[in-house]
Amino acid sequence: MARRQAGPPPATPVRRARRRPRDLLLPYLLLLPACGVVALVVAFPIAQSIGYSLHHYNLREPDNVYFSGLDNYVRALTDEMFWRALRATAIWVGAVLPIQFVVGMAIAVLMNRAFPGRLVLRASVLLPWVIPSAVVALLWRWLLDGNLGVVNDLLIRVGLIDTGVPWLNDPSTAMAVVVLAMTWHGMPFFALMLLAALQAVPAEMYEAAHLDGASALQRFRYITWPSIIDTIRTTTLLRIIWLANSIEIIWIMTAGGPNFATTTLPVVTFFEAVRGLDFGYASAVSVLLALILLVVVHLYIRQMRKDD
Amino acid sequence: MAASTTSISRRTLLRGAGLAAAGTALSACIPGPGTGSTGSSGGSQKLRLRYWAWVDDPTSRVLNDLADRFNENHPSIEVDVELMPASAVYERLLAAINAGDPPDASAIHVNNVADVAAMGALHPLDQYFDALPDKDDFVPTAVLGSRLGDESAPLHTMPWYGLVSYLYYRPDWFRAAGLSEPRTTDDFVAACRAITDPAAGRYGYGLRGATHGHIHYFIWLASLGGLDAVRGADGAPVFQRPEHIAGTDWFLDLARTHRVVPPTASGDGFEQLMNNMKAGVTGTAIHHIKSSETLVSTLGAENIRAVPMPVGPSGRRWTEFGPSMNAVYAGGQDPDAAWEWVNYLASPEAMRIFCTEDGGLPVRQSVGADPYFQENPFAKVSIDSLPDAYLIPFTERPGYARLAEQTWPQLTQPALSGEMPSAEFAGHLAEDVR
Repeated sequence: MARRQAGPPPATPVRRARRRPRDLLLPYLLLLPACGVVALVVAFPIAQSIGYSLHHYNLREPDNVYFSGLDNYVRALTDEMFWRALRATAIWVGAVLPIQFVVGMAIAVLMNRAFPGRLVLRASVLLPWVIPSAVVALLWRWLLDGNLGVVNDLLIRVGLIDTGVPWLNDPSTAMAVVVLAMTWHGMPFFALMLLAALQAVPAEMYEAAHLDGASALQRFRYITWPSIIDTIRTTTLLRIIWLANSIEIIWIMTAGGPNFATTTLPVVTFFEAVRGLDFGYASAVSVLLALILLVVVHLYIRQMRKDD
Repeated sequence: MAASTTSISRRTLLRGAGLAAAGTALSACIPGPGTGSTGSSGGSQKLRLRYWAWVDDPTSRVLNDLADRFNENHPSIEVDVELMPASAVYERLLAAINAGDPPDASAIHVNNVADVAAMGALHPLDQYFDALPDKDDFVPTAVLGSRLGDESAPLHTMPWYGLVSYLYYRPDWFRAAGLSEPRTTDDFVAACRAITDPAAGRYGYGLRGATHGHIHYFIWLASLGGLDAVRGADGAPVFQRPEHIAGTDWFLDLARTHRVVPPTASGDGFEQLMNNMKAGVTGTAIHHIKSSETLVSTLGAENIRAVPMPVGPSGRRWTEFGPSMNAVYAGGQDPDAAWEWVNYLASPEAMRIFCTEDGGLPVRQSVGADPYFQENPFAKVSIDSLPDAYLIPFTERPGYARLAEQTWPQLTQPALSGEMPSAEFAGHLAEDVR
């Protein structure tokens, strides 16, 4: 490299090979199908949602579609239900996320150790994740049924309660039980991601730390945590977005009730679109949720950069 | 050589892509076998009618078999039956109507008729119906149901079958408590109190607090005070008026005061209602003939009975008539041909077959008189209740779906627990349909 810099310039400058316009276009032509697919399945629906949100558009009135500006947004932001649902969404994400993380982390640490039956444990931990969320919701709804559920039956048998508790029908317990169901369903995602990260930490580092007299806590703090923090951040970010948008478990278990206790913003969107057929208003609510998520994600990424 | 190879393969690739794109575009112009749009009935091609419907048992082929019979007798028409869940029919209908491609005919729930009619999507059926020689054979309530309760309204749909709500009760529980079947609302409350035993997990009444449970609430309100307790002369809701709040108090007191409903009542829908009856959690429940088979098979014929809805203090009995009907779409290929099909479904032969298989109640008097229905105790109670059976009010109003599927299921919890006063509860419901 140094010799080349020090040497004389070439006698004849290297002439850049002239490329035909067709050659220049080729990479773009090859990318075109992928771009087309992205435009079709991502950009178009987003643009259409934004377009709907600016219109009075109810399927019941196909001849009465008109541009309504920000009316749907004003309606949402002045509707008490929107703010209640936003608060419920925050509680939902804020409760599920840390519990899933802590349980997932514990399982990942456990699965990272060598012990008999580890493979069986790894396979069984995956089960809640591979079961469709609709089935998970039905399963938990049955378990927690106030009259015929197994949970009440067990609690009565061990003497903790006298009569069945209507878990899903009481506003004070409904959110807790849907959080429980979602935690169970999503916990393997954290466990597997963290396990993969844990397995990428070189064993030599632990050996060296051990020889240096580091305690288990110190090894975790100074070796494990810095090694898996990027995985934790990415996984957490993905999970925030998924949770904020998820609806199946809540809708099937409680349909947003009782008394709107589990009505999150996706539930509002779903109800307004599918039951109310008010696509204009439902689109406005979903666009607002997307904007809120963008702000959250932006703040999160900024904090990540600061930490780095 | 290499450049030449690249050039050829690129050219070949682009040419191939162009051909494929052109082929795809062209193929879209060619009617495929599944499009069902073979144009009008002219020529030798059959007219393929698209018909959407739902049946309770998704494995049932009763509608396909009826279509086969119809097709055999109509050489120029072929009906394609597409079965889907009841809720999907309406959702797909709206999407199809908005897209300008409705089916030729479909089953339609009474709750949805007003919306679809307001969209101008229905083909009026008066001229066809009036020409029927046996039109008087239809139960008047069913014909009125197809006019959405308004005698002067057009016949939006063709009556098909009906469902009449009645009260199920457990005769073994009643016998054990020394009770006879409940004939009045007072009898009903007294019986529910007598058979309720929370320690044993037994409750008198399976109250439906989840979606569409408002139907039972309206039944009770009307039983207690007549239809005037629900709907005013102008069709507007009146059940939030002070003089009508007593009915709401009576209803909510089943949970608040008498405590004869399970603690889960606010979230109990059809599924829970049936499971609670089958599991011996509840001793009475409102439903219709379609649940009789499963209740009899679980509890035994001797342990489940049905009676007409109890009579209120006014001396009047009031219950719900839930008409099931078929619509013909103005945007379909050939409304005359579609009428032929829905008229066949309402014929005595097809109605008898369908109601026998699917469990509905025939809406032709001649079919209702059939021994099969007269000897079935649940069909008998339904038929006997017909004179007191009416359409649930407000189904024609735009806010009805919100009342049925959001306000009602969300607010029953605070209302039944006493956190929300009766007047406020009734006011919220009335607001939806005002």
